[in-house]
Amino acid sequence: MQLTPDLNAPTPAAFSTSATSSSLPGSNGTGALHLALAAAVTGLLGGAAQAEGLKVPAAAPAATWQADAAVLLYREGDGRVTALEPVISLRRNDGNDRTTGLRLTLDTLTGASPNGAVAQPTAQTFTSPSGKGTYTTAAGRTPLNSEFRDTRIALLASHERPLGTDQRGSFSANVSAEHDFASVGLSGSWTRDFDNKNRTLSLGLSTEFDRINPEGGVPVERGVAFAGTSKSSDSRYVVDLLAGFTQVMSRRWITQVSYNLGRGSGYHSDPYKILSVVDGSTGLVTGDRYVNESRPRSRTRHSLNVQSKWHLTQDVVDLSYRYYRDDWGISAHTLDGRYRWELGSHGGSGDGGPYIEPHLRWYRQSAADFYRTWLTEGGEYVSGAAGRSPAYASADTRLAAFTGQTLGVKLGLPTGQGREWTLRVETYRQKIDQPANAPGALRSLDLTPDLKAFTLMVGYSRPF
Amino acid sequence: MTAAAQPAAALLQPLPGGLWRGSFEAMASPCELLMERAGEPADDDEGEARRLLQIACDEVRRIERKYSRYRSDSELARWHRAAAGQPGQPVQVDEESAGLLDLAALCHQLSGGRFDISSGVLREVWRFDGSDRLPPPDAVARAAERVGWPRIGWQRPQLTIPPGMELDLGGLGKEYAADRVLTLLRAEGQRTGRDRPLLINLGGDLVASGPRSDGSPWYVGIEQPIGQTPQADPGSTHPTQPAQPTAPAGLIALKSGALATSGDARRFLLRDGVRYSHLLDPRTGWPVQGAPRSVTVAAPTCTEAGLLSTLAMLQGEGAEALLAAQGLPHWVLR
Repeated sequence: MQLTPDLNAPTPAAFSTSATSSSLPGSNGTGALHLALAAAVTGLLGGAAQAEGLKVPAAAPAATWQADAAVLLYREGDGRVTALEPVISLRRNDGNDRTTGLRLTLDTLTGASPNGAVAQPTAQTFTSPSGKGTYTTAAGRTPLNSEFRDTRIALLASHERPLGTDQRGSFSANVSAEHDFASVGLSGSWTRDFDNKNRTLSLGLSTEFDRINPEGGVPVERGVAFAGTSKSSDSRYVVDLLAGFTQVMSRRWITQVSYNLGRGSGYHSDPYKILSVVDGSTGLVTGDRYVNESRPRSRTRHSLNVQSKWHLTQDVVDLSYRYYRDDWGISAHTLDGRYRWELGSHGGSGDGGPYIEPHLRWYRQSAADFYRTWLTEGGEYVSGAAGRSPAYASADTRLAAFTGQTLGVKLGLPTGQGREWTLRVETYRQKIDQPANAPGALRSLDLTPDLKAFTLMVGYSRPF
Repeated sequence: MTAAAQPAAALLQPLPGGLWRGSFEAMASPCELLMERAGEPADDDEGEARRLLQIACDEVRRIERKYSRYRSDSELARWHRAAAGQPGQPVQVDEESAGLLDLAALCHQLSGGRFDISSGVLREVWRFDGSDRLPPPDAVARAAERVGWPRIGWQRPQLTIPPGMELDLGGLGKEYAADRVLTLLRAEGQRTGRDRPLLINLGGDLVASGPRSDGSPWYVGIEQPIGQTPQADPGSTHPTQPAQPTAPAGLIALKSGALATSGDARRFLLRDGVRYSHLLDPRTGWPVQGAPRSVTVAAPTCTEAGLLSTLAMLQGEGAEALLAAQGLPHWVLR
């Protein structure tokens, strides 16, 4: 349910049929009704005191600005990644529903990230990606690259405007840079309302160009790890198409179905991820020991999302389901539910009252066809100059079969005049499926430890 | 507030941002008065703010008492008693009532008979409780016979109400009260030399004295729209997606003038899939077809905003056309 601003109201001519069929004498001339009533009301309220009120009100057409600021802290367990992300955004509405926005995001990442190698009953030593040093992982532990440290800066500019009475268009451009990664993106979308805004169709297109400049160069894919690089950088191009349909089912129920088709081409591998080569019977690292991962140079993604929102007397229930699959063999299901619980109202003059919004999310994905926790020497991998290796292999757990659960709560605290504080706390737990048929020593090790993460976000938003 | 003999006192509380918020119940609605703090130190201002709030509260309750159709001691009740006691004899009304009746007459004329302050008797047969119980057509027809402004004798200041007919100024009272409060508080501000920005909100019908003293507008929230939230990328499980702090939806910046809303939220009948609006067409006695769920209009005065939103609703399918012709900001919810 939406109160739709109709500020750029059509000219009376556009409504000539209904205007002439109306028996309202005042509605034929522009503003006749307004003028007649204004004069009568001024008389009623006693003239002079009210005369200044007769100016056309500077109501909604006034331009408004909205500023949002937020800081997000994300922390993984076991000393893994910590991210601190401040975001500032400014949005201007010119009063005629044309909004222009600018958002600046700064991301600092520190900590350690799995390098893809499998745990061993003995300590393991690796060369750091920069090639400047080594790091050692204790026996029985999943190897983590502790040199994981990055700062990302991203800027997004967007513009959205009505196109006539029932269409809207938006356009945005973004740039993002890290020390080893740069990205430029453009996107546009178009929406159209039908049937008194009871149905909305939207179409979108977005493109992104990424340049990857790994520390120490791009590793030779499928090559022996730490043995040199092929070139200093590589790139990737991604296109996404989105089609969505929103239907108002009743006064209190709205449903949206959307489909997304995405295709990436170019370098998709993670330059810092390797795989262990282990002996098929002992489970110990052997032969070439570690090899660079390799992923296909294209990826086609499909996802279908169904979302419904129910506006109860005050509270809002939001449920969604998403099905995802790609040509790497990953298919995924996501269930997401939120309940916005209004704690009471402020009265009519400002905003709603404070609210609490619990959030539950469940995610399950299958593994990519080429996901391997390790490669077996003499099996699909044979060490040596004339050896062989599978075309694609990666031990990145993001490509593994896993289940993720998010449990969170958001607290919103309006402080009047459109100002609002928000606090969001979430915990995330990822359970990766244990690999079957672990050989020898690997059998007694926890090869895919669970990931636990915690998110805290504090945000403040205000108009000015 | 219950139907206690004494209405609850008005409450005054400080708000962040240098504001006083006064609140009270009147006309079966929550009423609110936002006032900017004035003078230094701030403590001195509390007494003054309380006095302004009292003026506002007294004025709203005065108008409520005078034109209530539920009170036997109201001016409206006096007219009806006089009409019943001496049928055909006119009753003399005061200046204020005459102004309101003149305005009602004008609206009747401008709306081609759709706006009619004698249509209240239709409520005897229509009960808008969300059920599917439509009244029998003959009962509607009988009630409709007792409706019709042209049959009311109105020759300022003489009013003659024919037997069986009734007037109801409920469609004007709240908005008129908001404008009256603003007029009084402005006059008071000028008298004391402490003119301050104000916002009066009587159950969602509101009027502002002007912008805040720093030039910024008053922000008025409209019902939260739902749906169309941005979606996160499906493939990504990376939790540091750009944070998207939610902004309050539907915020109107009001620098001066008034906003009023007419609507039939929760007041309707539903039968065989047809939604019968609580808005009745006095010419037929039946609900207006194709009326929007609600109409909000911004206008220089709250009385005008309220009348325009009501006239637009009464226009049914033509609501948008009527509003478009007026050149005023408006919002239509269907």
